[in-house]
Amino acid sequence: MSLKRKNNAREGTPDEDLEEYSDYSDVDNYGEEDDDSYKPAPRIRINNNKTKAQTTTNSNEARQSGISAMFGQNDFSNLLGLKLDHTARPLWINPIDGRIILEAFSPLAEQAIDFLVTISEPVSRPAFIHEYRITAYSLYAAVSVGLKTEDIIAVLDRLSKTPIPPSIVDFIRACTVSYGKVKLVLKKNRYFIESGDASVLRLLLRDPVIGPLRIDYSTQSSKQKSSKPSNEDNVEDKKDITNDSSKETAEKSSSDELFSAVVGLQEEEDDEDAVHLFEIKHSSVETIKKRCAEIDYPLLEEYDFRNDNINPDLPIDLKPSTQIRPYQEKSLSKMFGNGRARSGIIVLPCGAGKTLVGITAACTIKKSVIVLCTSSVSVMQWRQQFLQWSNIKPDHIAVFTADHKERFHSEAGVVVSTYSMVANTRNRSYDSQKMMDFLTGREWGFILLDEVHVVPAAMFRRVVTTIAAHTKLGLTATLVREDDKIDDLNFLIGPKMYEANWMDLAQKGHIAKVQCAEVWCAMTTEFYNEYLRENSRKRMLLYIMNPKKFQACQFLIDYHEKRGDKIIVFSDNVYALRAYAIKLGKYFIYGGTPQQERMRILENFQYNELVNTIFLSKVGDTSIDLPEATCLIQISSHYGSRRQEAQRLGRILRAKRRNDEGFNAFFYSLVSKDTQEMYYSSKRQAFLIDQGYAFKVITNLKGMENLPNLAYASKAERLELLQEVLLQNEEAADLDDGEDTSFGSRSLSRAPAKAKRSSGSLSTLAGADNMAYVEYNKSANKQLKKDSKEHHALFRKHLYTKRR
Amino acid sequence: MALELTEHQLNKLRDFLDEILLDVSQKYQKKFHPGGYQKLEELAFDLEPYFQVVSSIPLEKHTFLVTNFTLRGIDFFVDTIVGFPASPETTFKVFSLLDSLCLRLIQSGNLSTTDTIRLKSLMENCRMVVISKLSDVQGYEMDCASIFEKSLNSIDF
Repeated sequence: MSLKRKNNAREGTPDEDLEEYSDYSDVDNYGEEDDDSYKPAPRIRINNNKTKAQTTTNSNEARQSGISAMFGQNDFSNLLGLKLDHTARPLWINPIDGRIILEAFSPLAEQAIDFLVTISEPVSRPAFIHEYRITAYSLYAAVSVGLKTEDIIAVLDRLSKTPIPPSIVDFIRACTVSYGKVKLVLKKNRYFIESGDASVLRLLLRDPVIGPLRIDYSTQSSKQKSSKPSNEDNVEDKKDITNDSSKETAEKSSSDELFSAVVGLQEEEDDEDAVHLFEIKHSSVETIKKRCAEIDYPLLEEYDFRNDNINPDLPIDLKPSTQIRPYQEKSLSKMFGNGRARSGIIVLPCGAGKTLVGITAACTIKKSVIVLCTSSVSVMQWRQQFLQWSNIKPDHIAVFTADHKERFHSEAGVVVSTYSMVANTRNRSYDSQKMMDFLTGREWGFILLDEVHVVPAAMFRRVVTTIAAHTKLGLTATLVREDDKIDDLNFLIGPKMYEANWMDLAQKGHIAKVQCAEVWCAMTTEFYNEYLRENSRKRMLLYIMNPKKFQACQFLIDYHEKRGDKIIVFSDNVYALRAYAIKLGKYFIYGGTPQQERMRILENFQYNELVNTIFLSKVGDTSIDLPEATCLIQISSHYGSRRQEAQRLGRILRAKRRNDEGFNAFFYSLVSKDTQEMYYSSKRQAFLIDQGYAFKVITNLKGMENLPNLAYASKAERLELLQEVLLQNEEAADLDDGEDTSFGSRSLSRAPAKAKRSSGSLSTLAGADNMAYVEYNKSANKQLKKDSKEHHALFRKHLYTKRR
Repeated sequence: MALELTEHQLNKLRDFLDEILLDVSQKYQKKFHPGGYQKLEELAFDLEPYFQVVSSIPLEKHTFLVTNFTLRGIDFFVDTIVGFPASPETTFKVFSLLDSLCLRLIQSGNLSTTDTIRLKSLMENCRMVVISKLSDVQGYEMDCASIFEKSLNSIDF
């Protein structure tokens, strides 16, 4: 089913009628799939998961048995019955897994899309049929913008072709009734549980785990006394709001009256205990977070940094020349909207300015900051970005890597490090241990977690528990994880606060528009014969080193260099990376490249007009900042990883000349035809196609044969290349280890002893071929015989007898 | 008028502003559906108490709070302009109120550079959005250019 859509997306000139027909058949396929599967919808809640799963399963079984027993039409219509005016309603909801199918050609589609983006997550948005999915986290986001349970159900029912399935209604109720009700607020270094709903707080206080953890300062009589005035205040406030809203004119005096109505009554109760919050100990925070998650009241963490007088302030501000884009401001509003700092994850495409969002957040909080990255190169670039965008002094930024172990000497500062350095649990050097003591011995107002999606959850847990940070912000370009461990991030860091869609940003000119193309390179006869004979690992090397692919790469580099583009060529396979780069005379960077050499190559690529192409292994997927690249060529990748495809596309999304009309960035994926690489390629592109990108298939590069100095043009050269490839060990087909995290033992493991195989004879096994046994003079014995004229008497007798 | 609000007053203020913005946001998300807004005038009317209360918060001790409430409100309102058909008179009326609100913040002298940059970027973006939205409507060219005019002119970098 999905392959059909990808094939349609890859057609160069799709027929409109044929495409419509294909889309309708996709809908039919959805129906068929639903009839076959009775899997329960994935539930995220721990305690209720089994119960609801069993309930759903029993319900499905009951329906199935009912249908099989009665064969009645009513039972069928209960499952798939259409409303009378279904043609005017644009969507259908899968009762099993919460997927929503939307007809984008419907007159109501525009309104429905606005609503669906709010309550569900976009899965794929091609031209005619959109797919969304209702998840717990998308419903959390809906609650955060004010939508209530009945609102969501009513609007969905209005747009749906069929009645809303009961399972979906129950799921929506379960996820929306309690989200956002409770906050964990840190102010003046004290932790409070806050809620606008007093009944929720009472519920929490009655919980056997949470109740005893409360710090109780007031007496019973005070609580009873304060509850009544609170009710009266609520009533009076409602009256005041009603009176003020009835006025049509807005005047200054009415503003003052409204303001007094909101806050004035509290003056009489300054000494009263707060009704809507209670305090807990610092050591109880983790326990209460877990318990609140278990009872389905997830906590929103907030840090009242303006009233934090204990942690010293960091004198940092943005430079006046900075310009913040609308989506960046929206991200920051989500974080600081009520004057406090909220923890969570912000998802922005590469090139959209995640770094500036993080730095602006740090400039807003103005407390000590720790930034964690995935590599040493990223560490240096984050430091450079802080110096570029803010007015912080260089002495206030410290770097903690294997090569640098420094501390800031002021009261507050910024530390930039890597996840592995902080999460390392093995023996540390003296300097590292001293630095870790420095990090763990103080409180940090803000921790910035870059590329959160690639770090294992276990490492995150160690980082979060090791570093005492009051606000946590995760930055990432994509939350796609192959292991479906997004839940861990939501618990450890916080919910997703904002996510920008790539296509929306491209249309507004914030990131570059990208032309995506898959170039099919035919395997040469010699290579394909060997491909069919070799094992799977050697096969990879054969289709990567395909001479036709090499020529396509050379042609594209030549074409785009003449066009003035900056080109990155990605190859996960180190052997191919070196072979291509050396053959074409280009710089290359892989895991084993020293950092100084890397920085030199990157600087030349960025500023030197003569260096327009570099080759990268997968260290370039996320680690290196490449602001000027406009063309990307992919010749080898990590099997079918969707995340890698998205990350690599992100390398060229930075809008360089976004005001130029018709400016495009280019993304090429070179694939050897009729090989396993085509399967991997289609799997990798799934994420990009779901985001709305269309991959064009290029089967022939015009003019490639006429390129001067074309590599491997003759058969003799191709045979020579084939010979070289076949002589390589299977280890040459290995992928690059990626970023070297500066542990010495790993560099040693890069050069294991290689065994060589050669044919030999039995004398070889016996060691007779050794030089020690080589005969130097074969006629030595004869010479000795001639020289010995005098014999011993015993032997002389025998000699004479023979002569006679 | 008090110069500083107590903790309880601040909590009450936050709850009120959060509630009113959530209520307006809820109806906006249901726009063109039953129970939601049908035109921009309805939304502007309901959003006005939010800005009135924000404009009455004393600035000496709570500049940061007012700034973030203002940023959040303007950011929300500029999104709603795009979601509805063009309504010039309502748009300029609300932006006139917002201009006074931002001018008060900028002239207070308590604003940090970071917050000033955020305000400046957002105000400039509002101009672009309104110009794009009203590009098909005749007769409002001068009004478009004067959005946030006082506030932007008083920023000194």
